[in-house]
Amino acid sequence: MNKKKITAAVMSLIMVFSAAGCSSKTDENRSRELISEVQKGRYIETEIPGLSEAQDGYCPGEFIKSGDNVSFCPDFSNVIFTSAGDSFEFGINDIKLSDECIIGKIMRQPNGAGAVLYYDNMGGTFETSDDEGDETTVNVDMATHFGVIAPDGSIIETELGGSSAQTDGREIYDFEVTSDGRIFAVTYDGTVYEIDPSTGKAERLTQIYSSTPLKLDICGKYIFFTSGVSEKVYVYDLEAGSLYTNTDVLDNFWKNNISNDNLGEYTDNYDLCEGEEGTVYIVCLKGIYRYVLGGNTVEQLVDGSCSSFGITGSFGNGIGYACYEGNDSFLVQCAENKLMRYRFDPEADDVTKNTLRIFTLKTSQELMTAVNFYRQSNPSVEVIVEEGMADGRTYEDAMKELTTQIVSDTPPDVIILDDMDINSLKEKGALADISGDIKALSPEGGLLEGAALWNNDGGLYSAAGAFSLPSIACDTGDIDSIKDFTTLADLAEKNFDKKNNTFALSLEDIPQENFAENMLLLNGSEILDEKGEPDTAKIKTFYENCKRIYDASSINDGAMEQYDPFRLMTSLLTKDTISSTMAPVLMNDYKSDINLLTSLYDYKKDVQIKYGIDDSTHSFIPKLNTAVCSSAKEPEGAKAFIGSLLSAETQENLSNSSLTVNRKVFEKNFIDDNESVICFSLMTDEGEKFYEPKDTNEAEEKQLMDYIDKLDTAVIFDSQTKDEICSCCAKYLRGETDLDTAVQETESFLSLRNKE
Amino acid sequence: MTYIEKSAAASESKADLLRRAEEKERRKPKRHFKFLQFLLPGALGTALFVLIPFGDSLRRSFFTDITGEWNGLNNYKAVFQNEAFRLAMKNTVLFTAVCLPLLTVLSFIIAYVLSGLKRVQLIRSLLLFPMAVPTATMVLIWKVLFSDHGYINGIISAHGGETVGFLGSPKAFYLLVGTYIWKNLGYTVLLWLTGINSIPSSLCEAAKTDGAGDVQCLWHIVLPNLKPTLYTVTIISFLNSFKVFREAYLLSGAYPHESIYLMQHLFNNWFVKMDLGKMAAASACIFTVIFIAASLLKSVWDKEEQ
Repeated sequence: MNKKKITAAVMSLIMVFSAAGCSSKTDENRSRELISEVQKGRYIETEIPGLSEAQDGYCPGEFIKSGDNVSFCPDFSNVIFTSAGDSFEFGINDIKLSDECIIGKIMRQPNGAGAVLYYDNMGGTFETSDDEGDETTVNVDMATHFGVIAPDGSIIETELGGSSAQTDGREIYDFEVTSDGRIFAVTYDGTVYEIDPSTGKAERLTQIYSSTPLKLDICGKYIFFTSGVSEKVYVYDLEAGSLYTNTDVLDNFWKNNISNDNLGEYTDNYDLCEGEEGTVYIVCLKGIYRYVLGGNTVEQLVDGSCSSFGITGSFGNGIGYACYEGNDSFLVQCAENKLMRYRFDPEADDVTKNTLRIFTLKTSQELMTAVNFYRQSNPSVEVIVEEGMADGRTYEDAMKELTTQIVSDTPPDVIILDDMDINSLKEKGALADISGDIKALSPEGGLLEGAALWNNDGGLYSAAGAFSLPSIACDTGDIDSIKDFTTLADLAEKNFDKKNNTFALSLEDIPQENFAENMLLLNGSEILDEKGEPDTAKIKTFYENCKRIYDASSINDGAMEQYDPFRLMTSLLTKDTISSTMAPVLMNDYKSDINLLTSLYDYKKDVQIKYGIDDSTHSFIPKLNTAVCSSAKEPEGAKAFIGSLLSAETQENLSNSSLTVNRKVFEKNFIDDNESVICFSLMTDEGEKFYEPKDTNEAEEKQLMDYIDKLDTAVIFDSQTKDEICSCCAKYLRGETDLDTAVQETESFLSLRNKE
Repeated sequence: MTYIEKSAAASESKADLLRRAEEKERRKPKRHFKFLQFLLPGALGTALFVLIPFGDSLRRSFFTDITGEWNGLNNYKAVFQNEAFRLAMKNTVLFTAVCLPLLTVLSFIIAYVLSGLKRVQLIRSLLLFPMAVPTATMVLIWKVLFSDHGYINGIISAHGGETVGFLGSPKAFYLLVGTYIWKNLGYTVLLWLTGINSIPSSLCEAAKTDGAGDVQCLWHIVLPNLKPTLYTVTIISFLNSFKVFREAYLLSGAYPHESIYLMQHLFNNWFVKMDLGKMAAASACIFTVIFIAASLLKSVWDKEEQ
């Protein structure tokens, strides 16, 4: 009995093993075949040249699809793009519109007919000067207009009745022309009209109630109403004449991918395009998605993180307009006026062979741009960006997550060190020494080494991708008296007394924490000891000086603008109503900060700028500090990411929002091509005046380059220390605690930290 | 029965006995095996979630933090030289030294008083109320009451007094002691009550018949009979004193006032800073201390039992 049982068991085992052996072999072969089948096919990106030549600046032309042909007109000119010819051609009549007007959106068919939304310039008082220095003043009222365009280029304006004031909500906010020539428009208050294409007369259809103005897109018989800041997608069924209610899936997608997208403050980086019946294609920074109305899933077709439209350019626009051409092909207008086509190639290889994991406390526009450029040159590498402080997680949570990953042998490959305790990570051996690789990773033309390779003490543990500069702009007579933070506070107090409560800084709407944070970044070098750690003895002086400046600045003139703490006081600097100017400024980029300030010299001759507050150091704030994790699984990929970050192409794109470390790009942006694309305004006794920016002169360039070449002190604080210092300082500024208590609290925190 | 018959019967019964003994022996391992079957899940869980991690932690205490290179006793040296470790150790010991006797005595007094009441059942459910309050809720109430701009400071300043920094001064220690007592008092009282109720009332009644007073009854009958309860109360309160970190952390964050900087704060912050070697060494030290303390307590207890 037992023998039988044993024999049976042995036989069954033999059979199982042989079967398993056979099946594993065939399965392996089969799975290989399957994988190769699945791996085939992806959307290939190609650029269609000509848009940047046809259109300088923002392109307001939206696509129109008629049959198999897609066309769009970039601006008021007679140039039109047709997908049939795949080129820009002179084929239509110019629209009859003054050059002073600004086009918000234009849609024209190949015969020239269409519609246009335009503005009578920006409004306000414009003062321009010609080469000979003669100034002219132009007063322009800003008003929005909408009209239909006849094939000959003439415009028939649409009147919606009553006042045209935008505040009444009766102005048209967006419109779209369908493939069969019908025109629909939506006003600021959500009223939807159908516009007669020949007469321009408007017929009211319905009203969508939303707290934000809605963009309009037509896909077949449905009109989609969306907003970059709203989580709700409204769909209007043209045939039924009512709202389509089954939008939960779309709402959820919108919430997760568009309205909650924290990549920047610009919210119109998306477009919806019409697909086959009932299909809508959503093009946003994260990719191109397909959704069939009423369906349960939204499918990603193209990954935005490795496509040109995933990058935001000047003024944050990543996606202008997009269109589905048919046959698995899309046209997308991208940042910097690139027209890209995404066409499905069934033979293309779609294998992501490797994965590069990046750990950061917070994602930023700059980081995502760097990731995007890296992916473009390494399409086979999937990049996963892990944001430690997302969804309300704290610094501690994020660092615990990083520690856990490292301890459990699943470390990230790249660590973005911004706001982390860099010294601690270095001491623990979490960061790899890249000093041997940096030469190979450095771009042609070299780096601003002081800024890029600051984390160098025997070994090189990170490379910064960008930086900011602390600086101060003030009256020429006062500039020499500023030697450090204390003399800055002295000057603030002196000006406060002298000018009878009239002073350049207004802190009316600024949270004290933000003021403290900015002061810390501007003067952080003064409270650091030799090891780069905050010195408790210097904290007291720092708080005192903060308070002196804060009190001297806290005026209430009732006309102060909203203030962006990360563009520190640039807007306040441009106020002309005050007789004394003193603005500590964090220089973040070329066009909005440096160029604005240097341009200001030409209009306010008595203003001077000084880089760095403390005379004894040449401080700066490094950003995008990128390190390779010592236990990285893909160390070569991580180093390649640093190489890509420092490359001219990525750095050029970062220069929209940061000072870059690539020497060539820095010099190009600051010296060769430093003209701001926006004008700036000064408040005067006669109201707001607009000025055109001017080029920097040689003296200004030399002053900055001299400072840049001597950079020696990186102002870095980990998030926990920064929050503690700012919170204690803010309590003192608000008068909730006295100086000693505030200092004592900070000291207690710092001493415990140091003891650990 | 002849002698031969007798001896044959005797040898037969001896053989029987031997057979029985053999059979018993054969059965023995089977019983062991069955016993292990029941033990296995628990043992596996303990091994997987306690012993192996502890072993790994012990191993890490001899290696560097991230790179995993041999570090000898340097981590232990660093721990003993670490000021924060000494401070946390001091605070933890002080906290336990203050809280443990305070809670034990206070809860016993209340339990003894309550044991004399007739409708004590009604009060029992109320005693568990602090345990049922979620820590986050309790901390919120504490903040409302004790923060710099809290309710109590509001009353003080309304009467012209100077506000008190309860959380940012040495007073934070007493606040934490109060929190611990408040939270654990009810539960400990219940433990005492159960112990007191388990003493047969006839003992006291008999003593009283013999002329003993209430104090004598308490001293000579109740207290000696409560030794097992005392052991339970001490162990549970001791372990609960480590759990007070949650309250301290939620009240004042990772870096509270020095007086309430406990061992868990240090461990939390070391983990954030990736000081894994020091963490492992410190945990090995603390394990040794607690193990010795618990063993001592147990041996004292066992001695008393004998």
